[in-house]
Amino acid sequence: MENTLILSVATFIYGFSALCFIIESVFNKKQFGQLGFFLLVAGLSANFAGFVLRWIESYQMGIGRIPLSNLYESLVFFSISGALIYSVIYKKFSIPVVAAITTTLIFLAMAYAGLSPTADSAITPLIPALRSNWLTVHVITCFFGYAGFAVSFAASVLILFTSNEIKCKNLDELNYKMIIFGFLFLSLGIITGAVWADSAWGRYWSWDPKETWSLITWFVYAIILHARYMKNFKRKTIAWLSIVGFMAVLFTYFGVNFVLAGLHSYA
Amino acid sequence: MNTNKRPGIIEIAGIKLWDFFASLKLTIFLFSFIALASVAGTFLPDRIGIMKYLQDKPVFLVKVFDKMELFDIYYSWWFVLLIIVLGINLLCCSFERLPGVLKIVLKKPLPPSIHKIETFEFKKDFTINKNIDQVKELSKKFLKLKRMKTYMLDSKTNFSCAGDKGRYTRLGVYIAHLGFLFLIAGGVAGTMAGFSGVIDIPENETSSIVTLFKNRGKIDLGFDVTCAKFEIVKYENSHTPKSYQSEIIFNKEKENESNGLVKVNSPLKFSGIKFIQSGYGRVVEGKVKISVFDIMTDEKKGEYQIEQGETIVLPDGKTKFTLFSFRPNFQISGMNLGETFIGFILADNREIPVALPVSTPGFDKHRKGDFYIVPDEFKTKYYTSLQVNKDPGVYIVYSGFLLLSLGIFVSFFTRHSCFYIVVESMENNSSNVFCASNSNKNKSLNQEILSDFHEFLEK
Repeated sequence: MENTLILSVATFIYGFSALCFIIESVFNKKQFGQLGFFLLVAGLSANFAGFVLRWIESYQMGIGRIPLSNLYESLVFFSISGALIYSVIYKKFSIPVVAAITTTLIFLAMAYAGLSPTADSAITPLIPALRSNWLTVHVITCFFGYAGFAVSFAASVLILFTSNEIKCKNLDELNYKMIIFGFLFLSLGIITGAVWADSAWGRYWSWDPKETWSLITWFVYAIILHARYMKNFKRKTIAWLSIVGFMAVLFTYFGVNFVLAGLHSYA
Repeated sequence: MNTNKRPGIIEIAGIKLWDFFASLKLTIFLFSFIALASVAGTFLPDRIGIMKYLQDKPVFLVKVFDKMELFDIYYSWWFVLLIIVLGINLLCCSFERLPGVLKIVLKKPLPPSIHKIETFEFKKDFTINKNIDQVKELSKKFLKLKRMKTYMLDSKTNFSCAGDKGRYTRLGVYIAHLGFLFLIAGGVAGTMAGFSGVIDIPENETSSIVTLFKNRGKIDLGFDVTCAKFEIVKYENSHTPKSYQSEIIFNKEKENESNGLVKVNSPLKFSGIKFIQSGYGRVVEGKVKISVFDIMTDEKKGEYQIEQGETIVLPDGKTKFTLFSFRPNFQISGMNLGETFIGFILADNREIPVALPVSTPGFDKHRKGDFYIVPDEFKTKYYTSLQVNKDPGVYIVYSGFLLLSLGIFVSFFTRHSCFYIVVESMENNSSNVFCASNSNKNKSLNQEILSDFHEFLEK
């Protein structure tokens, strides 16, 4: 299938982009940062092209559905959202280490999608329970949220190692912006999921492990947003909480599928 | 009144209690605790599972856990209590902070004095080669361009104005919190006054009994539900089911009959109760033909037409066989036998369970009785499995969803910003301009708008 070919090309481009940002961070070479950004945008274009092609191919196979319904497709979409968000904010927050971590995460997601036997790249028909327009809205909102949290994770990691006050303030602003972006989309993701569950399974909430873990993630970020209004709350504490939040995101995304069983066992 | 009177113990306790419930620390504690309890809930087994595992002989620790309702955390009294306390905390916090916010929201900004401008964090002053009237017109234009509402104060030598926008966005956080309260209220209402269960109806049959989830017994709906037809739609050239659906007829006394189609992803509502297509299976229709063979000679000793639940006497004249049930996918020690009849042999006052898989006719030989039984002919039909839900809180929850999304958007992505201008008339047609900008978030934008204003006047 051609879509998987283009998507593997995108994986390599992202890999080189990450490499450029790492070189920029370590050797402080600005040119590599520019090249890294160029490659990131190129990777995003290839990634998006692969996504659209996969959509078209599914129609040619007579299945006809947006590619957002299994682990492989969700990882591909995660990379699109992550790369898109970082490309948009790059001008305002061009911090080499954050760029390096974010692009590495995007590269890893794509590489995992391409290589892992659990992420099957075949286009299969949707099981009846997933045939709904809510699927599209639900997956898009969730993954925009996850991508925002991924960038905030990158910023938080750097905050822990930064002592420079001005740099730290800038990172904190990026961290906060990505968290509120992620929080809005995670909320919308949970809500659309609940509305979908209500229309498909007749209950908006059933404490299924994936639902519960998305709520746990929501609570962690809610703690961060409220903690900012408390006196004596240090930036580093917020950064730690944001790292915990991203761990919760990862567990919601992968952990639940591999460790706990539930309604979401297909993706 | 004596204002020096020291507050009494009850007043102090009252204030302390209020402070406790209106504190952000409590919010963060509750968030953390509810999150941790939820984590535990996803790892602990459910009650039915663990009791089955321990064969109803729970060990001490399991008994303690059970008393604390740890096998059903999300519906335990303490979890619900935590959520209600979170609701109270949220209400108190709102009442504590709302008056201050309302004061800002309802107050129009005042045109400032030069002295006042000096107090702002983001400010700028410069001299410009334009007379006061020109600057005044341009200032008005600028504020209009920035979509700000303008408030002016005028004198011959001085001109002062203030502009603002987005004052009401400060209420965004309360919209979000109100939404969250709605979610809590709707959730609690649903748990208290609703139910959730399943009803299985074979084609052309009628039922009104719902088996509730989590072993909570059965209830009568008070009206009849008939499955007129069940159908599976498959993908073209494939055996993968695309969708399945049931034609349902509702029959309630004193009301007209109502019918409709329940499909996957498209439930049907009747009398405030939702019916959702959740599964299907096959049941036996009518009589089953079975044959009895001699285990030594493989000789057919008899043929019977029996119904489920019926008992027959085998050819030796004393052993009895009861056909008990039909399972479409019978599992025995991890092996799937497929369509299987289950029955009992009663010989010498001993009851022995018997499995008769349709695909393996000689399976019953393993029982090592005098005879073995083979199911020959039977007809099956579909039954539909419908999930049945009643949730009177769902509309409250949906309002909560709307308010919460709107509130989060408004409180994080819109802002209240003010712009202040004071202009002094100078000699030879020039003016001194003092300006300041302020906002409740995205403060770095203030510097930009001040430079914008300067450029705008210079043009």
